[in-house]
Amino acid sequence: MNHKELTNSIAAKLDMPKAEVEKLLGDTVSIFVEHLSAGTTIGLQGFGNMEVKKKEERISVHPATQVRTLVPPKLVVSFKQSNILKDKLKELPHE
Amino acid sequence: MNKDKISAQEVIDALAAKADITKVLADEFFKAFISSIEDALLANDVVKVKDLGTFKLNWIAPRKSVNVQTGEDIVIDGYYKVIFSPDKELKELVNKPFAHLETVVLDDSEGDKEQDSRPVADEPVPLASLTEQAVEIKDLLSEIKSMPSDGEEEKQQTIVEKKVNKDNMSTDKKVESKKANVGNSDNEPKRKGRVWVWFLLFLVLLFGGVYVLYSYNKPVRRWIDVKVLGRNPHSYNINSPRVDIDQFLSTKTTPAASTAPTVQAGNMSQFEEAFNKRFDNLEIAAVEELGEKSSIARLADKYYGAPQFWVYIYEINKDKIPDPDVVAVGTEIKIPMMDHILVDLNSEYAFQRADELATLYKK
Repeated sequence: MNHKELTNSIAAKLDMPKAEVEKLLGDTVSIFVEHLSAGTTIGLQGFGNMEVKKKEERISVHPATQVRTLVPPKLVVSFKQSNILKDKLKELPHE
Repeated sequence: MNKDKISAQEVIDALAAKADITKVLADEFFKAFISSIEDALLANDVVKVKDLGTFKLNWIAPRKSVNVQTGEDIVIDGYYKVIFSPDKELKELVNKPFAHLETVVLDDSEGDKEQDSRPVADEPVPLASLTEQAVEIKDLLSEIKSMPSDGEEEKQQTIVEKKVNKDNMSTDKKVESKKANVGNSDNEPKRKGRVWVWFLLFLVLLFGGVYVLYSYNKPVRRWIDVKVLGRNPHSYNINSPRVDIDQFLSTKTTPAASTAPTVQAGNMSQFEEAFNKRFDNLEIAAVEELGEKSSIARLADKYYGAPQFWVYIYEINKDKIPDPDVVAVGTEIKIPMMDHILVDLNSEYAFQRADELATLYKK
């Protein structure tokens, strides 16, 4: 599902013009980005948490060349699903 | 860094304020947004939100585990996990505090690699140097393998001659331990420099061992002098730090014998002549009191250069020595001055005759 399909889906649910949905969606995303870049966790009840995690620095070794590289620490966005969502997904047949 | 958590409600409030809409509308919209994503995920679909990122499902396979309380094996069912991969922009924004950091290629002892944030780029160069190193190490190993046999031989020789030199032994041991070290460091192909240091040390110790053998072990020295340095076997005695043998050898020596000692066949008759006359005009070169650790064989070694010539000493001292194998400590042993031909170290015939005499006397 791409962005357009998502917009259509929301518009159908709310019976709203797509243009407006598009605008609201853009605003929502910008709020998300704003908070995440400030390092704030976004807790979405029944869906999951979006949070920023710090990956520590590490030394990686190229297996073929044995070149050792120091990889610096970094901040990544991670999403952890809530148990409610997980349970729902359990009903999904695998493959 | 502000690590606070905000709830969906706060997001809705912020959205209402930002888009200038009622909170009710914002709430509805937000819920529709989340449920749309959820629905798509439940249909095992990928959801891409512009500027935010992608949500998709990842199947976690069932795995075995152990109940820590009961020790029972349990199987954790497989399940779908929602993974979120942020958009490039979001990723960069979030990582802003650490954005200035770059991956650094760590220098090794060789230190010829420049700092590069993309280590994959210089892949072929280390590979090539690695194979070079492998070849070098291979050569080293084969060299090292061929060397120890020499050391063993020398060691055995010293034992046979019963002149075990303590320095010598310890050097050999050191050499062996160094060898072991060289073997170990080969496991780390990158320590090229170190391998060379060990190898040099090993060489130095080996030559040290040979030198010690050379200076303290007479048969070895003789062998090296004659075979390696090509020295006249008679002249080494002059350089010898111990006893100058020539001074104990009779002046009766024919010049031909001393200049061409290796020509055996021609000397045979001369030898027999000298052999038969050996008791004529006998001169005593020295008188030695037999010490506790000495023997007439040792005296023969000291004065004539080889222990096999003890028979000549025995012949002179027969009256004092009832049994050549057992000589009393403190016995005064006369050392006769022998004809050069009779104690020629290069003449097998001289040794042969001495052995014949020995079997005769030992009966």
